[in-house]
Amino acid sequence: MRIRPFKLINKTEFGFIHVRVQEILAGWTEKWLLDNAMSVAAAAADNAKESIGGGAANWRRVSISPECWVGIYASFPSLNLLSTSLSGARSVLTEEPPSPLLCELVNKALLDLAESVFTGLLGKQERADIIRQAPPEETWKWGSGAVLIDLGFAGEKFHLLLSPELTNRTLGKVAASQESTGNLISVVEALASQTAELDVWLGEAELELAVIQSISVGDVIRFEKKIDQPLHVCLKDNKEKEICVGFPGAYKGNKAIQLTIHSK
Amino acid sequence: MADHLKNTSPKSVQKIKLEELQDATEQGGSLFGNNLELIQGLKLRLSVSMGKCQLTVKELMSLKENSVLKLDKATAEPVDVFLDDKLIARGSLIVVDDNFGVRINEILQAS
Repeated sequence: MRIRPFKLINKTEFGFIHVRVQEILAGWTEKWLLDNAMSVAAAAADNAKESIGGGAANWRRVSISPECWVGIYASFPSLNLLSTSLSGARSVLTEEPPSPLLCELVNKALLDLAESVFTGLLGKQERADIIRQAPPEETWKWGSGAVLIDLGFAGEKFHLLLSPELTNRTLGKVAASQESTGNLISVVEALASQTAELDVWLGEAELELAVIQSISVGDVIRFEKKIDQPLHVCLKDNKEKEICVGFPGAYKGNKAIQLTIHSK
Repeated sequence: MADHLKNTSPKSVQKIKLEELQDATEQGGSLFGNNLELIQGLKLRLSVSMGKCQLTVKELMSLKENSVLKLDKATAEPVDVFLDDKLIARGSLIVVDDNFGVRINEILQAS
C-alpha cells in the first residue's frame, strides 16, 4: 500500500510537538545544553529511566550514524493520540496488533520529527533511519552527556533523548555561534516576531449533495452553531485544532472577534 | 427447520474458488461519467469562515479575555462558504431563529 506524503506542521495535533521542538532549539545555548546534559546524569540518580518506564515498544531510535541518534519515547496513550490524529480513526493503536499501515504512519511521523531535530541541531539535512529500540544502558550513566527533553503531548509522556555524540557535535556549533551573537535572549523573545495566521470559523452545516447543488443566490443556509455559542479560532489550515473562542462583532470598520474563556 | 438451513447432501456442496481479477485498463469506458445523480444523498459539510487575521507570536502570547481580533474583512464584506476546504460561495451573515446563517450572494451555478 502506498502512503501519501504529508506535512506535519500545522496539519495535525502532532504539529505542536514540532513547534515545541523548534522553540526549544531556538532557545538553545551552550549553558542550557550543559545544564540539561547534566540533568540526565542527575536524573539517573533519581531513576529517570525507571520513571520514564516502558520497554523497547515505546522507544524509537532515529540514527544518522551508530553514535549519533535521537531516541524518542512515547507512552502508549500518546502514540494512540498521534496515530488518531494521523489516521483520523479512533483508538486505532488499541488494535492488537496495530496494522502495518498505522505503524508505518507513526514511524513516518516520528522520523520527520527526529529529522527536524537533526536539521535544527546540525544545520543540514541528514539521512536518518528509524528502528524500534531503547537507548543503550550507558546513556543513562552519570556524565554520559546525553540530553533528555521532556516534551509532553496531551498530558502524556513524550521524550527526546539526544545521544552524547549528537550533543557534542551540537555543543561545538552552539559554542561557535555564541561567540558571535553576544547576549542571550529567551525563547519567547526569539520567537516574538514570528507570525501566526488565524482563521475564525462560523460553523458548519451538513447538507445532502442534491441540496448543495440546488443552492442559488438568495438562499439561506442555517448553521448548527447557536448565536449564543462562541466561534472557533484556529491556526490557518488546521480547522480541527481550536486555539481559542470568541464572539463576533465589528472593530474599526472590519469584522472582529472578542475572545472569551472557553467553556466546554 | 427452514429450507435453507437443512443439511444438504455432500454432492451439492462445493467450494468456491475466487479467480484473480484484473483491474480496469485505460481503454475501459467510464461507468458513471460525471453523473452525480447516484450520489445525490451523500451528506457533505459546508463551513463558513468569518475572516482571518495575522499576529506575531508576541501578540498571540499577550492575548487575554475580551481581547479583540480585527479580521481581514470589512463589516459589509461577504463571508466565504467552503465545501471540503474549497471556496464555493459567498454570502451575508444572518441569524436564522437562534442559529447563525448565511444568505448566499454569489455562487457558481451548475450548467
